[in-house]
Amino acid sequence: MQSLSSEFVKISARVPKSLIKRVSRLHPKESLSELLRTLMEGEVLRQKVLKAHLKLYGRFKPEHFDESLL
Amino acid sequence: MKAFFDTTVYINTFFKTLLPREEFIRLFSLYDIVVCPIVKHELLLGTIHPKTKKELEHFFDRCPVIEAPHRKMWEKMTELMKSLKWRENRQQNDLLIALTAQEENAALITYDKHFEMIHKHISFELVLLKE
Repeated sequence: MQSLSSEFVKISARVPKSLIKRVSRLHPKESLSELLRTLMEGEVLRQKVLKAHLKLYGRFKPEHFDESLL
Repeated sequence: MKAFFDTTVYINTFFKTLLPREEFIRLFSLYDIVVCPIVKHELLLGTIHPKTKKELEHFFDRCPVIEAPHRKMWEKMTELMKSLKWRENRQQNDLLIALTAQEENAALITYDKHFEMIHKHISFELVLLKE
């Protein structure tokens, strides 16, 4: 995974301005950069979790899991 | 909204490919996916191949795992087990999973129709996938 700062720059270009405005209205005391960073961190985490799940998609044989053990 | 998969979803994606990859990806755009500790426990318990188990442990290390059920949730589960006259460990786990969804205000994404019955007794967001 890339560093948070490089991800921040890459993703910030993709965040719609309307979304930033809407979030700013909900959290008026926080600065725009703080809000943007929160959004970016959430997006970075989402991508990280998705990547981890996709890595294992269809990876294991069905016989490697025994439901009777549950 | 936060959401987590139950064991059936992991079986149908990691061990089988019943849920198409595109639909699996779509769930990540709709929800902030986290891992329920009971589901993690079930998945590791049912995995019989050591190498697979090791890969799953590594996977869970990289995902956000939410808090384990606290005392009041266990007490609620015990009450429900008694009132519903349920006996099996699997049912106990399912109740704890539903109570975790309620407590965390998270949606439970599952293939297990059994959760529809649980949904009548515990209020939580249920996303039932069809096979």
